Amino acid sequence: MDLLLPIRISAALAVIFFILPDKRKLVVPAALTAAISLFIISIYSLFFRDIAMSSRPYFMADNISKAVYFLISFFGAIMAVYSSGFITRKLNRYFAYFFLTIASSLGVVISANWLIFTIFWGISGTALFLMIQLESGANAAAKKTMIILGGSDSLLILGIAIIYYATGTFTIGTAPWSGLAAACLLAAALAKAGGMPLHTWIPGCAEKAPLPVTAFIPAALDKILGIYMMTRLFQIMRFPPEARMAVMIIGAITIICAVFMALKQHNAKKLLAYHAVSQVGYMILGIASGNLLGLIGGFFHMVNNAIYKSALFLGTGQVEKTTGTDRLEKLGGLAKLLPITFTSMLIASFAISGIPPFNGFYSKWLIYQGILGAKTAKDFPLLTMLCLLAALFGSGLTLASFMKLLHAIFLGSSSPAIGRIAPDNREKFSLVFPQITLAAACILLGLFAVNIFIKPVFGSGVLDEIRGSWSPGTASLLMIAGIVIGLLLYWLSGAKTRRAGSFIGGYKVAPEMRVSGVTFYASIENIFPFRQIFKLADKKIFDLYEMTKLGLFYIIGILRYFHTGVLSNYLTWIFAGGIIIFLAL
Amino acid sequence: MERYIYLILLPLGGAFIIAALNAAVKSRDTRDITSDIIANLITLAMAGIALTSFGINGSYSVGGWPVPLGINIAADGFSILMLATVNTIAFCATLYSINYMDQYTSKSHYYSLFLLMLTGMNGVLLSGDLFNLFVFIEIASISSYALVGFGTEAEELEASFKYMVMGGIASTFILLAVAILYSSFGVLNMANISQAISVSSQTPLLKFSLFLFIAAFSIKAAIIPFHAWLPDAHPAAPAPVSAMLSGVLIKTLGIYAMTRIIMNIFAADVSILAPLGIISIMLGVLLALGQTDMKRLFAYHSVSQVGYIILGISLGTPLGILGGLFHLVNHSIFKSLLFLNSGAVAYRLGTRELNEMGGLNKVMPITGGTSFIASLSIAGMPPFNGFFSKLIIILACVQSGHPGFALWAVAGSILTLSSFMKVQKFAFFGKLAEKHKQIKEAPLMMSISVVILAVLCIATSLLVLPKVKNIVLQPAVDAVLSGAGYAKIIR
Amino acid sequence: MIYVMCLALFVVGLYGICCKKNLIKIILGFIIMDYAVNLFIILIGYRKNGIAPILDKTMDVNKFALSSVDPMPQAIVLTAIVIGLAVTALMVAVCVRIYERYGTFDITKIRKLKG
Repeated sequence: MDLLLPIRISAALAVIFFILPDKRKLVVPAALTAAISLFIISIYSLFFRDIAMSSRPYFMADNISKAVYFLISFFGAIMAVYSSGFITRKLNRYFAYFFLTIASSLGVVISANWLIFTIFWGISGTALFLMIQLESGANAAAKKTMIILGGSDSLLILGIAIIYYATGTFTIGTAPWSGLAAACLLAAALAKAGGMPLHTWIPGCAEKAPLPVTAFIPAALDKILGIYMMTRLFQIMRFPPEARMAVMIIGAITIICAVFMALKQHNAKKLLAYHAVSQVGYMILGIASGNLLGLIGGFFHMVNNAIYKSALFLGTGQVEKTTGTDRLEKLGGLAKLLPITFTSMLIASFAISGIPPFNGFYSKWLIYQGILGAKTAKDFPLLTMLCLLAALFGSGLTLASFMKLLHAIFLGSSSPAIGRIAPDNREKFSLVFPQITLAAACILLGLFAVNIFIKPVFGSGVLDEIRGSWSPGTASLLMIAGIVIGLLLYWLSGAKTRRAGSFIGGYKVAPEMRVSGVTFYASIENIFPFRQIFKLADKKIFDLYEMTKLGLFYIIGILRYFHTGVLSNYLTWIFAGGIIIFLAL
Repeated sequence: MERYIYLILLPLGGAFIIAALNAAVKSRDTRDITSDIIANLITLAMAGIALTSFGINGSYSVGGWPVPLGINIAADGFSILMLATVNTIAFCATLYSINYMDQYTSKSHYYSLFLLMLTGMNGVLLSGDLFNLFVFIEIASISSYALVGFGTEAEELEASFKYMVMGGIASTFILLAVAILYSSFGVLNMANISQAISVSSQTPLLKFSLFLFIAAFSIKAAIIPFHAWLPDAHPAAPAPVSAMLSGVLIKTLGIYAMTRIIMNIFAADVSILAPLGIISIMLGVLLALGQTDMKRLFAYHSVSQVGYIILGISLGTPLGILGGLFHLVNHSIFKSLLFLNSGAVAYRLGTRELNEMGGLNKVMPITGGTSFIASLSIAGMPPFNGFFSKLIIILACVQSGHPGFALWAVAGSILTLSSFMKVQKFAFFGKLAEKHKQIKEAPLMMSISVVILAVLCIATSLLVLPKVKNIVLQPAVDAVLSGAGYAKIIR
Repeated sequence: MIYVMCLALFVVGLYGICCKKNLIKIILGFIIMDYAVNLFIILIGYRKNGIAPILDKTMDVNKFALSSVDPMPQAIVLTAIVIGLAVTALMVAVCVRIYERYGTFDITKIRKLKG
């Protein structure tokens, strides 16, 4: 039993579920059993077996691979539970593609050969395409996703070809620096993870695809794979400072732009999707900094992001399941109705905004440290500091937009639609359990990061560097103490509070006049530079995909214009071509 | 060695028998069924012969006349690879025709023309002398002209006429070039000419004939700017014929003959073709992206994919030729599959317009699934066959010091993916129109045929495994690379 | 000289195909081009004052070989003519059908397929 076994099993499961009839009573228990036993087998083969991977030339399992491997199996189990409660149609297909995704993702992280890596990488993209297609009406989003992901696969091939030319082998190992190869591989990693110029499939996918798909793949798995590949890339190639700086700038731009786009969203899923893009910027910054702390931070942030981002998506899914909408202005006051969802989303929001002592803070802190000690700091001090600033600023804006999200969904006055919800639409075990698990993971990873993540993965050698930076135990004690003292002071001082209703010149406040959670943030769309930028963004000026499409169709128009259907023209081309060949011979 | 002669005689005889049946049998049903059976048995036998021939090289003199007097049949690795491809695709196409050609009135005429075209192609692949090469090219071409116009609707006739004029010019060029070579050396046997060229100096006349050959075969292979007939002719033909035309005819008449003559007879430098290949890749795929007619879109993709094959072969390195030939085999498979799928859609819906389709996966799962496989293959997505051949071509580009070519190849690949995602989105996924709710899956034989091809799409990716590669692809690459060494196989 | 004439004929044919609008004229151009090539092939084997390449029982083989014209081009040309005939026949047939459908012989008006 080695690490290949779970891959084989889940590939077989994919085939089995593809053949199974679409009967809920049959598929759900089968899928749950399969996913959980797969998780157990993965853990067993990871921790309790001597992994003889050295006998297999095409696969490897170092600590980074193992960590990612564990994470993927973990998410597989969690998401299977959630999907079994969430998805209602075409369950057999859903789980077939689900297990195909798991198989291919597991394959990516343990392959030691670029060819096998690419094959698994490509299959995971195709599986995502098929999963998005399960929701009718999502085919435009699916097409865009597939074109961006599949297109970056082609670039990956080119990168591999250059590496093969330089090293003479397909084995993933140190390669000499080559700008084109690095750019190609980086493009593939960015497209998968959702880095800035290639991120545009994520919002569309989040909006249209079935929610567990978004929570599972773009928010968790694809981030993991993309950042995993980036980590490997920075391991095997020695980046010159200029290239590092360029990558860091991409990271910084990703953080800022995506968070601004997130601020103005009215759709909960799209808001989260833009944050999913924005968080990638942190990972890129950390990994590209070239500093060990930054690398650990970036990698750790990837783990954390996968956890809290899917927690947030799952919470949104619960909200959507309950209320039937994901428009923020139609929601409000759900905290009483969905207490567990509210708590877990609160924790996850704190984590993503980088509030101590949750895990997001820990990794962001490491990333800041990493940027301060970045290898580019000597050559480009100003730009490096700008990147740091962007990261800090982005963190603040993240908090702001999550306050908007939480307020709009859970707090404030409840919208008229909320009252009519049937009680059986409330929190179900299968939907709540994954959220609790993920929220708990946020806290645990925040408090005991060193012991349960950093030491096992990166070894105890790095502990000395980290220890000085942040000690979550003490800090959280102090923070809790501070909060408690504050509360005590509040009660002891006996300050009076008064609640007053809305007053609008003596009129009664009609339900439709309530202030929804998004209204506070509408003003940002009217401030001077943002207004114009948002307007351009709405026209998709910043969408590389749409712009390329526009340009290409212009060229196509010209080309088609020349194909007039007149035989004489075609013959002229033949003779022109003949003359060219004749001259060239 | 005698087995190869059957590859020419069987379809030729079959064509005449079916034509005779047509005259002899009065009842249309009997006529159709007998011609179905005869044609399928013949193509099945031929596919069997061709697929078991790997490794059997050699030559055969027809009628016992020795070279250079008699007609000579020669098979080396390259021809055998092509024979296997052509006859396999031909079998799938005839199997498909059983149901599909019911729409047309004269099925037996169709089968005679089809078998005649097959005779021509097999003849081209096996012919050991230049004039026979020309004759077989003409047999294949003329029957394909007729098959393109088989439906005798306005568009089909127009396409057929344009194809005929351009193909006719190409044929005249070939004949002229053959005549020039004959006037220079006094022999027509390819082996003898190749030996003569290797010792003679490069005269302007020789160069002119090389030019004529390249221009003519570029027309036959539809390399841009010689491509204009292809997007008209391929969509106009009935689906199985489109599959044959795009799948194997342009490769046999164009690429095979060009490679054979340039590499093996002239042993000339072919690097001039690489830019043409790049132009074909890019313009072909761009034009395809702009189409809304399903078959026309596929036809433009043939132009683009032929560009890949030409690019690979023109690199002239072993890896490049391997990639080119591998892509040739793969493209025959997935492109015929795509055309057969489009035929199935047209058979049930009566339209080829993408805008009028949608959600067909719900009613035609086999067609949808196989076309998805073919789309991924042609776009070069792993783990399908197109991925490996494109990978090899890109590797070869980088290895031979042309990373720029590789970049274009990658760009073409991305655009290919885009346009096939467009096809998938418009035709097979999405919302099913109300009027299409009653549609059934394609008839049995059509489904079997596409499933065979879809399985081949996955199975041929095994050709990269060294053991399989050494049997199937490597002899072909060696044959192309041997240059004038081709002469040796002729006794 | 006669080769130049042959080339001229070829170019005339090409001109007809490329520049004429009428389908019939295109076909005629095609035929002219075809025949120019055929003529060329025949000329290759031509020998001044040669005899027909038919070996009689009374003739001496060596003398025959010295005086007869090359028989190979003649064989080739026969085949080429037959092929040319087939193409021409098919062209004319299609041309007639096109006239039925489009009501015109003007090639610039027969352009349903474009883009």
